[in-house]
Order: sequence, then C-alpha cells, then structure tokens
Amino acid sequence: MKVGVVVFPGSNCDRDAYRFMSDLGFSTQWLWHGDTSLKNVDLVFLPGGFSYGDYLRSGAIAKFSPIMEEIKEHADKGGTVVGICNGFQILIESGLLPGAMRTNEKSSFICDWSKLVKIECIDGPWNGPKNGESLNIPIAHMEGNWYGDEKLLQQIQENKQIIYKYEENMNGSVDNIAGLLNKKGNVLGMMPHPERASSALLGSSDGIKVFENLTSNLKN
Amino acid sequence: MTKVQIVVTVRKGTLDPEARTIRRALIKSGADIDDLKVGKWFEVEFPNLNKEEALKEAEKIAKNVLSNPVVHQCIIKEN
Repeated sequence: MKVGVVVFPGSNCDRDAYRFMSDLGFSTQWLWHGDTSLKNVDLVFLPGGFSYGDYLRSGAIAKFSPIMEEIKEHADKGGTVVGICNGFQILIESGLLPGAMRTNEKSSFICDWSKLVKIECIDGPWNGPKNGESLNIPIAHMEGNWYGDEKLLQQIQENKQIIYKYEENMNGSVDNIAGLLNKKGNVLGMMPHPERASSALLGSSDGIKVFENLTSNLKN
Repeated sequence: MTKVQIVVTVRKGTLDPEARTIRRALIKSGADIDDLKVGKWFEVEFPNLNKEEALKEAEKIAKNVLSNPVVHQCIIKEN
C-alpha cells in the first residue's frame, strides 16, 4: 500500500508523518500542494501544522491547493484519506468532513496528552482499535473545538461517523469529539497526533493502533 | 467599480472564546460594557460590477470562502 504525505506551505508534522508511516511498513512518498496528481498512492496523509499561516481560518486557504481537487476525487471514489490536526481542519474546510472548528474553549493553545475512547463507528479502513478501547495520544492545537448544531450532531451520530472522543473534554468540542469519519468511512480526521505516539520511548505507542486495520492488511 | 465591506462574526448563540476573553479584559480595565462581538473585516473591490451585482458576488464569496456558515454569520454592505 502506497502512502502520500502532502506538504503545504506551513506544514510542520510532515516529516514525523513520513517517518511514522514508513516505520509502519508503508511505501511512503511526498506529495506537494501544487501537484495535480496523487502519483498512484492509496492513502493520502494530510499532516499537522499551520498551512498558509492559518490565515482566514485554519485550513481555509489550503482547500484551494491544486492537490485538493485530486484528493476530493480520490475520496469520492472510496480512496483512503487521513488528516491529522491541521489536516483535519483542511478536510473540514474542504467539505470532506462535516462541521467547523472553533478556538479552544479556554482560548489557549493546548499541548498535552489526551485520553481517547474508540467509538463504535462505520466499518472500514479506520476501524482498527476495539470499541471502547482507550488510547493515549497527544494533542497540540489552538482550534480543535469541533462544532456542529444539534441536527448535524444527530446526523453524524446516526451515521456512526464519530470514531474518537476525548475521555475528558479538553477543548470544548461538542460531544467530546476528537475524530470523525465521512459518511462512507474512508476519510478520517482527528485532532490528536498518532504520529507522535509511535513508541513507548516517546510516552505511548498507541498511535500505531489508529492504523492497525491497514497495517494488518499489509502483513496478510 | 464598487467597494463592498464584509464582516464575518461567530454566529449568535455560538461560543466565541476570543470575544469572551477580550470582554473580560475590558471589564478588568474598568470599561463598563455588556456584550462584545469580534469579527474579521474585509473590504473588497469589484472593478466591473454595479452595486447590485457586487453585493450578490460579495455574498457568494462570503459564504463560500470568507466564512464557514456552520459557525459564522456575515454582514455585507456597500462601502
């Protein structure tokens, strides 16, 4: 399975993502925001950072990058896409995932470990960890306070699009939401950074579990 | 040429931590204030549109690009 890590101006978790995915056994390559081809990758990885300086809103400018058209097409065809932190914000701004991101409830940047719970969700490439499993994965963001009105929340609950929740609400997110899927379940966005929880030496290796379904397919 | 002003604010009833923090600071500084709103202000020049067309176009870009309608509301007026 080939992975493409997209680099936007201002991405800063791209190298971590590249190394993490390579270490998991994926054949990994770079994709540039100006590219007009996904170079036949199977999984697109939108890393964290501050694309376009977070101007306008986090992720709002990145959605106009040429590569985003390709990513939308890939996702529409059922292709696998993951967006971490700023990558999640880009997926929301591009309309690939629902809702909006607000500034954290306490108006401060939060850099801390978060305890996540895996929620029963749509079956698919991201449904690796067991339902109810607790994952220890760090967060580092200013705008991770997910918002959707009651109608939207009900929709995503009914569609089983919520994949991760914070055990304790850290940033004000509606329904403690930390990670979401699209309707088909092939696109994942999450604020916590699995690539920073890649080894017990760093405090946790739970990030690996997020990709468990895909890595077990690699081995088979 | 028509100039249009667009102001994007957080939707009424939606939590706005930035406005809340600024409001608190203003009260601490001794200001006698009640509610406070924060927004982003844009001034856009449309070289080839009349007033009506420019306002329509401004509404389009305000909804599609300058705001996220899930969480924002826009005020649009001719300059």
